[in-house]
Amino acid sequence: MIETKNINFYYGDFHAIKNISMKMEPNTVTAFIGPSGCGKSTFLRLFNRMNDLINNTRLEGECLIKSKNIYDKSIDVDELRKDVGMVFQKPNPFPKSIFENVAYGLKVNGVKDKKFIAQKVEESLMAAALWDEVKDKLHKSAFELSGGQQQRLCIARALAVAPSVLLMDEPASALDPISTSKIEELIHQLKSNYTIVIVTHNMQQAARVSDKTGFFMMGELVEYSDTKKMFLNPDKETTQNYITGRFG
Amino acid sequence: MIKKISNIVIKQLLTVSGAITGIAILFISIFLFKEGIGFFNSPAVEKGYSLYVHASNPINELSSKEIKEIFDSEITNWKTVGGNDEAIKIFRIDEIFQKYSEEELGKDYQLLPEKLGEEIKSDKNIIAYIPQKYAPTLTKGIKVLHIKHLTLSDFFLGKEWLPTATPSPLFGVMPLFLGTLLVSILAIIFALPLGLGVAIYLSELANEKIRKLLKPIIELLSGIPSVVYGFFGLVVLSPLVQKTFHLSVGETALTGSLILAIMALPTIISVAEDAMRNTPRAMREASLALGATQWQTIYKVVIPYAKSGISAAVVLGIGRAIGETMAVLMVTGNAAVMPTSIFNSVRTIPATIAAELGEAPAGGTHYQALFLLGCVLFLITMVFSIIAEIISKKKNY
Amino acid sequence: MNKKIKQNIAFFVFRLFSLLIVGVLISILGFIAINGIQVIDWEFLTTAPKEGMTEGGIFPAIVGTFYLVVGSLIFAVPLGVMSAIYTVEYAGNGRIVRFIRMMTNNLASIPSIVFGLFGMALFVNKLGFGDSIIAGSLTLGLLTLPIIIRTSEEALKAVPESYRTGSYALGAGKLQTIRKVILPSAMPNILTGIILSVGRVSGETAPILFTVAAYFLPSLPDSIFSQAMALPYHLYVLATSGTDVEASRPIAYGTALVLIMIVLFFNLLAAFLRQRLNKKLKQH
Ligand SMILES: Nc1ncnc2c1ncn2[C@@H]1O[C@H](COP(=O)(O)OP(=O)(O)OP(=O)(O)O)[C@@H](O)[C@H]1O
Ligand SMILES: [Mg+2]
Repeated sequence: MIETKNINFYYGDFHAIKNISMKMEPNTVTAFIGPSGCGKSTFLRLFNRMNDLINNTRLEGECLIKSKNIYDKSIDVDELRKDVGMVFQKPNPFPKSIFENVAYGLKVNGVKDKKFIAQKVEESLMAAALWDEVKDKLHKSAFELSGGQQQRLCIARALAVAPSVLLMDEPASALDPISTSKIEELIHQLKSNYTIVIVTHNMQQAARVSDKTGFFMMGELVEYSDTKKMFLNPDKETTQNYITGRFG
Repeated sequence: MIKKISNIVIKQLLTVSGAITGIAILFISIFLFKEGIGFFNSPAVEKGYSLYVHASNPINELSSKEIKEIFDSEITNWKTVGGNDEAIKIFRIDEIFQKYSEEELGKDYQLLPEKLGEEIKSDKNIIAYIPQKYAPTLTKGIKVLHIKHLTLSDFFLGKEWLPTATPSPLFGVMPLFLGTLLVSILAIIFALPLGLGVAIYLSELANEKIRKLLKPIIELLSGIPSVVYGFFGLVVLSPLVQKTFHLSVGETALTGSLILAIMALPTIISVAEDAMRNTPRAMREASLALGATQWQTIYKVVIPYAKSGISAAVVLGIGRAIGETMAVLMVTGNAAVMPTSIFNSVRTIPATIAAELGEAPAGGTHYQALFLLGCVLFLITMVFSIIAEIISKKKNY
Repeated sequence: MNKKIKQNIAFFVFRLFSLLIVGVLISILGFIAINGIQVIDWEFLTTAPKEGMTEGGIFPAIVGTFYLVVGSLIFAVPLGVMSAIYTVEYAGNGRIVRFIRMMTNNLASIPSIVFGLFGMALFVNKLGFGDSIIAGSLTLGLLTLPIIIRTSEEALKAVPESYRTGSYALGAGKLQTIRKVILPSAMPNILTGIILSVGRVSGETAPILFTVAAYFLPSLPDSIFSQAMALPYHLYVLATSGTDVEASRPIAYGTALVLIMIVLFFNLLAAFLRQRLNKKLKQH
């Protein structure tokens, strides 16, 4: 589904991603772990070309999604981003109603049929396990929701445009334990329909939700294997040290 | 000891200067109102003049509008103002000189009052407009008309601004007020799309280099004195407007609003740009990540987010435009009539003050009326500045 | 694809607008520069108007504007700086400061013609100064007060807190600290505010219409109670009501150019100084 080939990425002179090649299968959850500043977010944001927004950056190598190089000139970035959804670390709903938040992606992509939009909004909110909590206040401001609800709203918003890949950058780090477990449950359910890549600082979370795990350090992919193996019997000593918490 | 006292003195001095802006505003409002409020104690005819009628005339008092219309021959029958059904005979002091030679009036005109008295007494339907200096000897046959004071509605609802008309000047601010509104709103209609466009360009599209170049240029635009804008408007813009629209004169409401639009641009651009730049990065990214184009992100996320800042920019811009004096004075043609078209001359409140205060004798009704205009202007701009402040502090959600 | 086209159109329009603004500025400045440069020479700057203002120079207007700038600064700078000192160093951070700031904002939003009215009522009539340099200077001073207060406030706030605590630690009192430590290090920034207001004062017309400005004076003003000519008013008169408007047009262009050059010079100087100072602050 996603494949990177010898990717190097630079912020100005700073070499943030060093020669990473990896493959992610459809309908799996892949977790990225690693110490702060190691380049997880940077790498993740390459998959929907979010780093294009930052000035003075440079990319080498190839990134293929559905076997197409997404950095090819023929690629329409907006279409790509529609197909590769993203959920951010801090919940970032728009200052609009709950309904409008979910409908946003559809509307900007040219959907005009109101019935269809309403149906999609309901489906997405259901898929994000939020429907029951908000169905009576769809036209209230999204800011009236709790942090956890807001994050699920952002997931629903991402699902509404029917992406095939879902990128999640520490989606639960700003949330309380109950909201976190709801999100984790959700990831489990979504796996059957989406290819999910999730960045997390929480080892247990990575172990609970993911099929495969990549361990990053200082811009390099140190180890990438099945989550079970990674947590029980990693190949590298640094991985072992990091996972067991014997690490700055 | 001396040091201690001087410390205390300095501290008091600092406290007073801390309040200086408040004091200044207080003083400004007191002085404006003090000079302006006398307007409502002024009679509706020129100071130093009185109106006389025949003693048998049932009319005892007239308003400024009635007087004006009588002397303009728009009212020709006493019945119209509530008197007998008789034609009005207007008498001005000049007429006495046609009737009597200078000798008959005496040296220094000592005999003039007497003659005037006779003249008025001789006609039942006469209305005479006479300086008090030569007040006719009051005999049984004549009486002085009581003249109503100018009222709030004379001022605020009056549709004619004729401050030097005799015997009864009219001080209706309606034409000035509407003129000001027309020019300012038109200016904002021109400036808003342009200003927003440039603000969007600066905050969303331009790279750092271009921004660094463009920002000072816009600041320069705001540094140019308004009299220079007026001059430019006068020699370049108004001939241009005249030619383009085939008008007889180029000094029109349109010309004024074009110049005002240019002058309002820097404010609108910088306030709106600030507001847009304050849109959190997370909002933009959320929108783009859903497949929205940059433009969709701008008008669906950035502009709504910056709405209060943009509205504040608009209010501030209108406030500025309303108060702008010199440029408008020089290019709008200054016709104090109810505006009917953007291709006609108009006159704004500040332009009226600037144009007329020099000729209005201090303390006279005209002078007071101009100060009253100043009060109106002061209040309007104050309200606008407060509204702008409130709006810009408001959150959009 | 539709939304891409819309984006392209919108962005094209915005670029066009930005170009248009640059074009407007260039055409205003260019027009006046091209027409004005032809009349400006040494004689134009140093002689008085002649032949009903259709010949000669603008020397008395330059002198008058100079007097007005100096006069208004003498009044506004100490008051404005003291006001800023009070707000930043004494008033704390509560309601008083908010009130003062609101008043300053409101004062800044009052139209300049209203200042003119006020100056006429108070300084010219009530205090009996008549049309005079002092009445004009006081009126203009009031007008620039908000600029000076705001920039001085910013300047004082930019002084690092450590300077204050350092001075107190040495046993200096509050006033002493302000005088010896805070003011000197805030001075350069305060200066930019003053320069900015010089630019503003030299270009204002409406406040001087009825407080000082004279159409033509045969001799230079000899005291603060004399009337004076001033550049912006001179331009206004030349443009609208000279004895022969067409014949005095070249002089009007020259006057406009001189006025613009003065105003822009001070604006640019202030911008330049501010940039230098910001850089310096960052280096520290
Ligand atoms: N916009 C940027 N400009 C310059 N350098 C950046 C930028 N964003 C990130 N970096 C640098 O790139 C490196 C990787 O950053 P990244 O955000 O990808 O780390 P991360 O692994 O996501 O860390 P965290 O776990 O704290 O989120 C860091 O050293 C960071 O300082
Ligand atoms: Mg990160």
